Amino acid sequence: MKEIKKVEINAKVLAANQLVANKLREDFALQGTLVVNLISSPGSGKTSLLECCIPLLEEFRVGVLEGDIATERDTDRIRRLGVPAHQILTGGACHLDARLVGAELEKAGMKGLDLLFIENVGNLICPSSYDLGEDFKVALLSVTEGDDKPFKYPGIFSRASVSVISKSDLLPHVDFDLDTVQNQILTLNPLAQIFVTSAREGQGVEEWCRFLERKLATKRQPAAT
Amino acid sequence: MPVRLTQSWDRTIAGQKSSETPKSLCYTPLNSPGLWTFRVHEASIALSILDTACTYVGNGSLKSIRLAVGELSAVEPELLRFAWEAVTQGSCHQGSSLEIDWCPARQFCSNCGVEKDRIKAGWELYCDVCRRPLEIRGGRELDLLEISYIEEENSRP
Repeated sequence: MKEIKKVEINAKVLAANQLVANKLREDFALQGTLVVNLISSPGSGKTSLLECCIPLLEEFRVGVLEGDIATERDTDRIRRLGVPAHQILTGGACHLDARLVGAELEKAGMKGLDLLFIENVGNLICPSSYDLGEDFKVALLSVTEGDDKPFKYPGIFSRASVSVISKSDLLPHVDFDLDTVQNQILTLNPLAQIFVTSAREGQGVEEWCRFLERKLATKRQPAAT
Repeated sequence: MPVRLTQSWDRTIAGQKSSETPKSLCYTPLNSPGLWTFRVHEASIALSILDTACTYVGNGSLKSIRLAVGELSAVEPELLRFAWEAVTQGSCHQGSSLEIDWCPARQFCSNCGVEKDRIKAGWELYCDVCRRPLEIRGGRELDLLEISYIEEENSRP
């Protein structure tokens, strides 16, 4: 006997990921860890940004999860700074998900951090859909990538509450209009915070670190009653 | 590029407690020529859809799935359909269709209270009327709306 049945579901497709992400977020809140999910295309300078800001955050316990398809190069770069870093090799997958992050954190034994940076797989599209339990997503865009990118990749720029324009030392050499980019980012996300940085010359890095410190302080403030 | 099983696919299946794994997921399309798709995120999304749908259908087989997909959801409908074919291949859900309600993002002026379609080539920065910055509304949907399936007794080997 056959019967066609219809069921209304109305659930988020990524509800399972969301459940795990919510649990991670709870754990991070209990530990007072500020979690930053860094997303950009390959070569925009995620690791370089970390390399130049981690030394300025020395009074904090910082940890880094490095998502990559292959190699431990980024983890090696971060370990040289003397902070714990753990490589997540996705074996080809284009993004990290919450379950993977939870499992790898456990494996790495990273606990009780002040600041956890999750460097996502280099990709401006796929990682934007996945909540990893982070406090906020950061979209990096290097000036060599072109000033039309926020509108071309609206998914990530509308979700990232912070955008970092990197490699600003190269601005004199490329056609990259900062105002255009800032306008595009703010159209996609009116509350976005934008930093302009150069890992090579240090521009904006201090400001970025102070911002992280403020965010951490806010997170640890006892909830107003 | 060689086609081979990736760790992430193992994990996707292995990450679920076996007791909770719906029957329909208990196969691995090892020889599927579409396996490379498991490296794109549409594949993990297809698996999530299958996973959720399977909790409703019991021993039945899926006929169609209706989804809402927003243009800012970072999901490409054609890739999702392809991934769906791959994840259902060889199962009783093979041949089921994905019906996708595409949800465009819209632009909104909070000053004038006017919402309108976005321009074809991109996004407008300012409202035509009051010249204030426009906001974006909607377009982030990635929802499983409805499934239809055939309930069949003893349909499984």
